[in-house]
Amino acid sequence: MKKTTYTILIALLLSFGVYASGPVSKQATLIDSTSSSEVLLEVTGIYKSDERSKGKKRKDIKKNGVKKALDDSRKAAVYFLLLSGTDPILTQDSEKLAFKAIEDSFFDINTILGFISYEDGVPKTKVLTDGETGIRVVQQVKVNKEALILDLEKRGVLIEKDDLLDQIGNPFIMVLPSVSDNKNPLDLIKQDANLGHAAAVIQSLLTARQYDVVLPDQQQFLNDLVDGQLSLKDIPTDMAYQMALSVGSDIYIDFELSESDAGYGTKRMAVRVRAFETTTARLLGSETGYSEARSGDDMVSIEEAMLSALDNVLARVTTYWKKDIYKGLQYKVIVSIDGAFSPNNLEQVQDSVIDSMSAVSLKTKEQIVTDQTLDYVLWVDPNDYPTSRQVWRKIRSEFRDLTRMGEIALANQNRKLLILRITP
Amino acid sequence: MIRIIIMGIVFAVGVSALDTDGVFIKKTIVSPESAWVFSTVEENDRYLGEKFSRSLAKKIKRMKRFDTVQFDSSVFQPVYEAIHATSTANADLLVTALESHVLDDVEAMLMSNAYQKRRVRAIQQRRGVGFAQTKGKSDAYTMEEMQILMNSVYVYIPYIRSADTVKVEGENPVTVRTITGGMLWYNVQMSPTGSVTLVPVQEVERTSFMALPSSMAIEPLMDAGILRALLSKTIKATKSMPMFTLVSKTTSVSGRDYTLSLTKDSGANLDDLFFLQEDMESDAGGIERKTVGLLRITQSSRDDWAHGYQHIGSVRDRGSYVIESPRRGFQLGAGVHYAGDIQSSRILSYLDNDQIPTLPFDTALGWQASLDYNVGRHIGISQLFVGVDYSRADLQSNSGASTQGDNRIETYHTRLSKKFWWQRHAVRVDVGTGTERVQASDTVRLRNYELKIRSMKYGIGYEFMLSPRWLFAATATQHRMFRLSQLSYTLDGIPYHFSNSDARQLGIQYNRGYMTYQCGLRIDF
Repeated sequence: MKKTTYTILIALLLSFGVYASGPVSKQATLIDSTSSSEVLLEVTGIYKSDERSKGKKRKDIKKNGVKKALDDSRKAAVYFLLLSGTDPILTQDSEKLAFKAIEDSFFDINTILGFISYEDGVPKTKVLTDGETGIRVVQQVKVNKEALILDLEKRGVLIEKDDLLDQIGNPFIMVLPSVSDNKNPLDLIKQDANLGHAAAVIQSLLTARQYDVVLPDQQQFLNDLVDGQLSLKDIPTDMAYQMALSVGSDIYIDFELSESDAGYGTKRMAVRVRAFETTTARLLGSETGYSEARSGDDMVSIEEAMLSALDNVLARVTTYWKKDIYKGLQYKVIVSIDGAFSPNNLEQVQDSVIDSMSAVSLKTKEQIVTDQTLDYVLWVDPNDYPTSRQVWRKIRSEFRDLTRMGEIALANQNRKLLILRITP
Repeated sequence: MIRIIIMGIVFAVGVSALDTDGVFIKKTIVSPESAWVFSTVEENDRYLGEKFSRSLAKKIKRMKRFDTVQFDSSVFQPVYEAIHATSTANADLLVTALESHVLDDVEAMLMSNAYQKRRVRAIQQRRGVGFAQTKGKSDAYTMEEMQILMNSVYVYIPYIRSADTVKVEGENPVTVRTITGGMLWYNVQMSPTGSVTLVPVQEVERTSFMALPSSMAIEPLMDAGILRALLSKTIKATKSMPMFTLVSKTTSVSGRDYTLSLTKDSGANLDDLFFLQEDMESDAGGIERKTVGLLRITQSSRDDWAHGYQHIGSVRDRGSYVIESPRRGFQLGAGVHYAGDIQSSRILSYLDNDQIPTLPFDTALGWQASLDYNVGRHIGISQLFVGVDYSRADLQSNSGASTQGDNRIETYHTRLSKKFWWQRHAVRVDVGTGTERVQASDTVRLRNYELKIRSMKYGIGYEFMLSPRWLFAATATQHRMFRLSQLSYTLDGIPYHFSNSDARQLGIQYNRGYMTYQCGLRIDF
């Protein structure tokens, strides 16, 4: 009841959600991601004179119209990034509520100017409206989106990225091209300069934003080195470890490139970028990006297309992570039950392991249940169980408390994948 | 013809929309060396074609708004052979001939790296600050730029339609020579798939004439003058074509001074006139572009943006459009002419025995006409005009003394004027020199009085810009005689004739003058 009341209250507050000192226009289009931190927008600014007489309104528009409309366009640019479009910065209700508390001071023009890294200064179009008592301008503006996010983090509107990454377990990210037919992606990167360049663009953006990135070729090198060192010491090969190593990282970003003819001998590059969790196969974000059609400068086109797609993908990944903090981190648990259990005992064993998983998680989802295999997804509060090891230990202790009919053991623990084995 | 006009209008709208952000983009003009002379032109007048085409090519090459290309004469030769081979040549035959013989060379030029590199700066002038322009440092043509580049070549064919001479007989026979000619414009268009076509755009035809007394009518000299006028009219009409008209935006405003995104390299020259325009929302919700003022270029250089001063309209903030209003640099004026204080100048004198009386004319009232040309724009001095003035006024006496006969004063002057503008108002400073001629037949005693003097004049005037073309002008000028050319009269039946050396004897005082006042209208074209 309390939760319902709270939700209604938030909804009501947000429904007035016309930010009083915000822009009049709110119209903007994303043109280009010009770098890892800046975006180029085409924005509309509107100003209507509030003088009393028509003559004074016209005079006001002539004197101040362009300046005031350009101010409105700058606010519209920031508003668009915060609240509009397919991937706004403020996604959670709590964030929007927190922003509402500071919106007046935030939309002060001096604050807004701090996020504008470039603007033409001359309107691309300028139209006088309402009998010359109003004006509408369109201009291109470059906004430093990273500076905007950092500012909101400092004001407490957004959770800081480091905190977010800490809470979800500091994931490592690997970038590979999308492959088929058992081809080796590392070989593809080495052979195709375009793919190599695309991978470099993604890695560049990720490192600029301080994500933990694993290089696939270096990872392969390390794996070989470790294997070699172990065999030098006559330590037997751990096949489970070898298999786990093949996973590579917590998150994969894979990409695909294509080009098409666009007329007059020009080519347009298209990219598809996906980010997914390796051990749960959960898709975190997918987006396509397109370059301008141009003749030559393929590398520029690739980077242009990639930047436009990648920013959205990472925004969606971040949104999922934020949700995970409230809903819980996802774990995939595969339970393999030995066939020696009798039907009666089997059911009891299954119930016990299901109850154990329920005890450790905020929510569970049953994927597959057979006589020998349970496939479950758990949502676990990271504050209660920060690591997958702790998740396993809780499941084990709960299982032991609930039944003495079988022995539960950990067959493999790989990031967010737990493979358990129950034997009589 | 109608088809050409309709296609021209439709195409002109489409092509002008290709210009980046409504700003003028330099076009490539393929300039031929010869003209199409219609079969109706007589054999001895056919040389006019070559003269006209050469002058046209020279003029177009000098125009900075064009990127001029001249092919080898062998490229256009088959075209002229084809159209001159038949007496029924028409525009369709011309198009066919151009497509057969010229289009391949144009296509080869379009695809050449040298041409594309040369045109980069003009096409990519407003690229913006996206990734490709900043970190990418890319100067590769985008598809939109390629579309502009591949459709911005124009070919023209000059022609002479007719050259006629008419002699008007009578007491003073006059010879009137009329030449009609013009240019046929074509646009070379390349589709995204690479197919090239030639599209007729517009036909510009003008007529010029000259009328001279038959005794002075030397046809080649008349032709030279007529062709010059024809060239000027044709070029002005070319500048008015939508794809060749300079269009720009105002990028900053300070008082009434505007900075435009045009340079001398684009074709913006000193004293060029531009209409200031704003986009406005109409009642129906559409956007209309309305003229809200008039600007004149006050500063233009190759490497810096042009500056303009707004004469008409209230000041508008940056982001407005300016569109060229092509002029030939002439101003034609006419109005009322009044001369005062003639008596005190003591020039209208005659010798009667030893006495030197002056004729009793105090004032003169009549009309005046002037033709000015703005030479300053060629030498970098704004609003400096060279003009010729003519006035004719009837001499009047205020003293009540009876006058009879035809008493008048005519003046012919060449003049140098400089104007200083503030909004619509200008102060004009004049200085000139010329001839004044007085005719009088005052009394029974004095008949056939004719005085010719060389004079200089200097004065100050006021001009008010009534509209973009019309001005109101008022001047006050002091005339001073500095040389007697001739004085002749008949006194009591005895003729007298004096020249400059007799000035002292006549008591003519060179250090005196008289005032004239003029008021009228001028048209700028």
